[in-house]
Amino acid sequence: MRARAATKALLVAACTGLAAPAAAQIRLTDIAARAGVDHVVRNSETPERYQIEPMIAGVALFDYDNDGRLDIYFCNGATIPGLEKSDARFWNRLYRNKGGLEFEDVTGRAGVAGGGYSMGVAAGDYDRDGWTDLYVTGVNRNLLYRNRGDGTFEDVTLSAGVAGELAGRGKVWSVGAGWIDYDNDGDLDLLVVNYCVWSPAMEKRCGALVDGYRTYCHPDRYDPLPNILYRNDGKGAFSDVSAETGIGAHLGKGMGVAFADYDSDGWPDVFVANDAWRNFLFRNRGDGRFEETGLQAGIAYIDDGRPVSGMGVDFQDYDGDGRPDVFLTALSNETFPLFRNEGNGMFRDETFGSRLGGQSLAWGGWSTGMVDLDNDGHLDLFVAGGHVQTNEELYTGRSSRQPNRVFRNLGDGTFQDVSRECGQDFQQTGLHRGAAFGDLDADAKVLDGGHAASCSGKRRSP
Amino acid sequence: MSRPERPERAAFWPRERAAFRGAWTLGLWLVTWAAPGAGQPPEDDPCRELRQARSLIRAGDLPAARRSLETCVGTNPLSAEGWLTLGLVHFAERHFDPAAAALEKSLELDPAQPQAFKMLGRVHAARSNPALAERAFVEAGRLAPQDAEARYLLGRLHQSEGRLVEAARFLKEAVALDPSSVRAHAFLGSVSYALGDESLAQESFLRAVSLNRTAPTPDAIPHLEYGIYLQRADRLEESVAELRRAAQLDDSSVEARFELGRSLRRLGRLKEASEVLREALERDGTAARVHYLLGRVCYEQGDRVCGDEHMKLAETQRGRTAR
Repeated sequence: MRARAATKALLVAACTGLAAPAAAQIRLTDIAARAGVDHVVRNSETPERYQIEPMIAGVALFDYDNDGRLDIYFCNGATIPGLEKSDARFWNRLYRNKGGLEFEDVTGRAGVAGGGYSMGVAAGDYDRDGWTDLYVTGVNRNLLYRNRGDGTFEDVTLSAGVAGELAGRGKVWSVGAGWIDYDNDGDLDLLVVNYCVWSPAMEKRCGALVDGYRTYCHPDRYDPLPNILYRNDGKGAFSDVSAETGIGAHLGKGMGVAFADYDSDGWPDVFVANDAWRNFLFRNRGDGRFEETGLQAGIAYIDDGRPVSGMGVDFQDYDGDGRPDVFLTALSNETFPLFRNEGNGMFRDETFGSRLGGQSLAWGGWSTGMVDLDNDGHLDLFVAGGHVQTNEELYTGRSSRQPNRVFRNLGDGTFQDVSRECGQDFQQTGLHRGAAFGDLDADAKVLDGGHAASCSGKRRSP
Repeated sequence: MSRPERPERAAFWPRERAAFRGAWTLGLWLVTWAAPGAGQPPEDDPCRELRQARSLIRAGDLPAARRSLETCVGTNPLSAEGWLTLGLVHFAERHFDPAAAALEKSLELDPAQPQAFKMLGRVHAARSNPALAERAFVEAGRLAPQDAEARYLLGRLHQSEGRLVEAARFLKEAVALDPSSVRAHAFLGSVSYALGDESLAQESFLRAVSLNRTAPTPDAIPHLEYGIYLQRADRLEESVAELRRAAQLDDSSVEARFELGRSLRRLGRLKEASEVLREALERDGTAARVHYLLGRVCYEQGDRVCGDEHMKLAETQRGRTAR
């Protein structure tokens, strides 16, 4: 286990047949090996249980060579405590989609092996040259890779000024990032989500004082950090506008980020899922500043007033009322909260009203997506599953390794856990973390960053 | 080896719920324990103040009972019963360290007391030391294999630590040993629900509520647990009825009023929600979650000033305790 990765990135296909209004059965098949996607995430799990170990394995689907097919980028770990990619096993990986659900590893050629202990990735064309670029977050290195358009990337982190450093503190542990045109000036700005104050030298000891019983510490044991907003100047460089926009004024333990215009004022807003800390909803005022409205909007905590271990998040309209809602994942015994946008600046916790509460209580969730897996016009929920601890069995008898989950949107405001109906491959347990969604073989079926997939094309009777 | 302790992430049954319930639960238990005929002190116990102390406990005068017991064990330091009773009173007064010391002394004198082990386990649990609590409860169960309460306490301990499978096992053993145990049924319902066993959850809750109707001293807990279950199942009107009953039965309960406020708010009955949440704050003005919920209700009523005030209080109180 230690030599191998504690986490696993996957590619899964939702096999729905052709796009059709009637709900199709969701079938997910692991085609990673067949597709040539042999990447293994290496987090360097140690007996010391460094806090960074369970947090990695971000993945992105994007078309880096503009051939019309989605390619895959995986983040990877590094040595601990050195935090260096000492050899190619720790490289981040770029797989080029050759078509026909076949991929080739082009990491070395493209020059995107990364550096340090990587966490997450965001893809976007920040320089508007028509080629999608990559921003990679990490514990000790954040990287901006500019896509040259010739199959290679150049590291422009320093010249662009997006190293993920805080004044007086230097580089901090970044988990996620997202591209957002917050000022509506036509180019992509960058929001970087930071987790907590951490270094290998300051790691704490948690869990029982018995060999093998050491655990990853609760985030309460670490100090929070502000997030960073970089404004794109349109000429290849960014400036840190965290202070003047108000983003940097709020300390949290950010894991996930998603953007949507929740108040329909034409300005994109920001939701940050925090780990065991209240969530942030940054309302974009349209004047270059954000107002943190999580408490007023009723989304800072779940309905019973407690914070959850916020992990992944998506910010889309699950109930078809035209207003973006928030779904986030959390850990076992917490539920996966769903907040419905009421349209008056407030959200309503529909976790139990949607039937998600009882169905998600037992599971730990990480990356997530609201995505129409059965092409019925309603957004379903995909959750990468796994416990945060890797020795959970010793404490509770429950397995640390969990299967992923799919909750089917029944179209009436409720969801049904259909994971068991998604095929044998989908029952695989693991310490799943990253997920991304897209149509890898351009057949109108959705795929996610998980096991590679092929389709059985089975459908329910109409 | 007993199960080791570890810090737990937020659990379905967070510790504050136990704290919400502590005083009322213990007070009732202690009075029941000290009731005439409910296990009188051994005739040969050298401590003459025991009977007087029990009377004082029944009368609710715990400081006087404690003083009497301190005299008792001062003059009769070999009185295991005296130390046990002193430990109980200290615990009821939330003096956990002297409670543990008195109970350990009692067990030193007589190690075959399941009652003392159970109480020591409660003290350790209150001191947030679940590993020691578990050890004490296990020992109580070993000494009294047919004791349903020892199983119940183990079940509750596992439940509060998020170990639901073990919790269900012990709670099932508890109801098998004592089918009339209202609380064991109620918590088995909650654990079963958390484990996804809706059928057993419903059956257990109904059993608990039914037993409670005929109990000489009706208990708020089954109504509270069932009310929360109904709330989560979106059966809000039924939930309101159960939670109101819980609040009636336990006038000090902040939790019953908090959960009642949640159900009323979800029903859109904001005025009633506001009233019941204010009642909760009258009982505990430091309850951050209640301030948060009341703040939300205020916003929904269009009262921004009230909303901001309670949100601020919620964050202030939250900042004073571990997140």
